[in-house]
Amino acid sequence: MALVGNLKDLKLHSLIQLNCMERNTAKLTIENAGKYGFVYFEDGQVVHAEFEPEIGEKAIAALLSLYSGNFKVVSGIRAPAKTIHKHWNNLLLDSLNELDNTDVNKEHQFDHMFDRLFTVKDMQMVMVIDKEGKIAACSSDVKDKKNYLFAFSQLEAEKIGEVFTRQIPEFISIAASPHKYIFTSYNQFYVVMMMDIKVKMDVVLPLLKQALS
Amino acid sequence: MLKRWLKEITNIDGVEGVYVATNRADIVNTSGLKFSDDELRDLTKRFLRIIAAFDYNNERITELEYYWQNYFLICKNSNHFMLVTVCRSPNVLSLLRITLNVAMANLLEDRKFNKWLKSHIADRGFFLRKEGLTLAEEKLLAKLK
Repeated sequence: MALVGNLKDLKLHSLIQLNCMERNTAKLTIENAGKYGFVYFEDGQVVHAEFEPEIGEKAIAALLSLYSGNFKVVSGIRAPAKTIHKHWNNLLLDSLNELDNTDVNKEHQFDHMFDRLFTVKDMQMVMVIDKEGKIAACSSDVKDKKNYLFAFSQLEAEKIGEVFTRQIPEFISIAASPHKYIFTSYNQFYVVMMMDIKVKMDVVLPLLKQALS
Repeated sequence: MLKRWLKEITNIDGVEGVYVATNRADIVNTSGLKFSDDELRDLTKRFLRIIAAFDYNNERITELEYYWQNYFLICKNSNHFMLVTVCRSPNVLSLLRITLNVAMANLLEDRKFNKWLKSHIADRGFFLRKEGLTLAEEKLLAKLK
């Protein structure tokens, strides 16, 4: 019986670890937006991978950058070629390290969070910025250099926290009709959510906390 | 009238205190808060900077709220003054917001208070002047302009 699922629920690096630690010989097929990728395992080692136009280690790196995609693992299928000779542990480490440094990964690292935030009613825009106001991700085009305005507001919020000898606020809400802007920290970034001014913070905050967790 | 409304707000169980400030960051009156006037002035300047920055971007802030684990700060902004409340309990936020809205409406109608305010009108943009800002704040504001 084949193992099937989606990379949203079970990441590729977990699938690779699972098959290697189980010493499987198997073929893992991944489908993403109509494009197919393949990873072959032989006695618990990754021996070949394809994800057009890449093969071998580069194909593994490209597949690891996908945050969603249907997968299927079928046991007993041997690889058509051997293009990967690295131990699976080192293969994963090297590929994930390379991924951390690529723009492709940075572009999509917030996709999952955005998906969850947009399930909250009246969410109109989500933006992720750094302390200098540079946009890391945004759900729509930004007008009027708002990103710098938001970064400035967040900087002042840190100072406000200092007055109360507290840390930066967990959430900040700024009502400026017709919008309500909600700010929070997320790793080393700030997430700014634009919602309808009528949203009630008591209702929305638990939903946002859940979406951001 | 002002003192009466501040008292009304502080009487809500869970509210630590409240104060009113002008656009010059002058503290008009406080109730229940244990912070010094200087600390409140510093806090007010931060609010005024944010409000002024949004003004510059043609967006008028009517309310700022800050949430910590069990500590909340609500700043209601009007043209010439702000009403800032500090609260420790999330359970009273709904009641507090209603009370704050009523208090603001009454203060906006209060002739004596408004007459006094007229002599304390100031441009919030004053707090975006270079002299009072850190380098980080200056850099961000420069990009906004």
